[in-house]
Amino acid sequence: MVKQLLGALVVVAALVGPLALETESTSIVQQPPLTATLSPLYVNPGGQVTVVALQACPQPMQVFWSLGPGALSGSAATGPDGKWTVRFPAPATVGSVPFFAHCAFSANANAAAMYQQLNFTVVAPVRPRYTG
Amino acid sequence: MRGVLLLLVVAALGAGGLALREDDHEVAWSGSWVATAKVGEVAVYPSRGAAEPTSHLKSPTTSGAALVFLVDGRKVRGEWLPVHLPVRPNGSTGWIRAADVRLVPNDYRLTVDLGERTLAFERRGEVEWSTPIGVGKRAMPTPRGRYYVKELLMPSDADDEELYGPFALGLSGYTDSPGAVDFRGGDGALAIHGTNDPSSIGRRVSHGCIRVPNDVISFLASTLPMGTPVDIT
Repeated sequence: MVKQLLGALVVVAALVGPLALETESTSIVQQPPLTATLSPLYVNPGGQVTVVALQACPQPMQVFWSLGPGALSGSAATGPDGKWTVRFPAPATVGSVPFFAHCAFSANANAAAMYQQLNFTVVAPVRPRYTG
Repeated sequence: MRGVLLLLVVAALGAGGLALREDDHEVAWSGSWVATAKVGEVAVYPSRGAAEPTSHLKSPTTSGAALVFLVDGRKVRGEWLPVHLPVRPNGSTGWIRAADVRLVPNDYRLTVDLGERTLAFERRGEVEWSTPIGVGKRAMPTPRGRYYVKELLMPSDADDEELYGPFALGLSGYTDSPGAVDFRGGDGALAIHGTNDPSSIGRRVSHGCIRVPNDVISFLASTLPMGTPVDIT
């Protein structure tokens, strides 16, 4: 429950970062992007997508991820070195999909968040037969 | 504590345009609404509140993509939605139950001017750019009307890529021109696609589809949500 609440707050902070910085009594600080690789770039509905960290979270914790803004899709534990991997099936809706990953940690007594957006594209798994 | 509450309120406001409460669909939007099926079969009715559906549309569709509709109008309200349908004849509309779909707002629109042979890209009501296009031959004209993007395909072999370029955005409309209606064993569905023949751009060369430069279709494929309106005039 605590992890979920923390995750929700991290997602909120990442999505509304510039606004959050201006709110009263908040202790959330934005950090540089969290680098990672996502593959494949083009995938059929239901196909597996894998995201692998290039840059570790500063502290071993949970990585929270979402497809599109506004909803938490899942979380994954980082390794002892802070590295993480997320695997998930591509959504059924074709088109461009934004993947967001966020990791939370504390820095100088502040709660901090690193996040990244990586886009991939879901394409229908058939040959085109349009009029040309 | 007040900060946390404020954050949650800000988050709700930020996501407010992107999410609808299940019990209240009365939301105005300056763009359009896309309805994506969240059930395996969507019943289509002839009018709001009709007792019997006139047809059922499956999701995923035969292409493997989730079934999407363009909502007719900018305001969505109550348990019923008027939608454009991806079926013959072109311009077909019907009513579906709001509970069968997930609603998402969309800022994008494409407009195609057949006379000028241009395609314009709009976001939030403003034209951001336009590009020359290839359109249907005189004997196989691109049909005018309001359509929407219903699927995204990526050609997987050299033969398909020669004709369609790197991507094809399938539209909700069809051609009925003889010679085009069963082109390549298909059903006459229209699309916006690329081409490996750049000389065809700006000319009347196709069987009804709209050809754009490959860099343009790549941009559109990675940008446009399914359900984006396409107005061909």
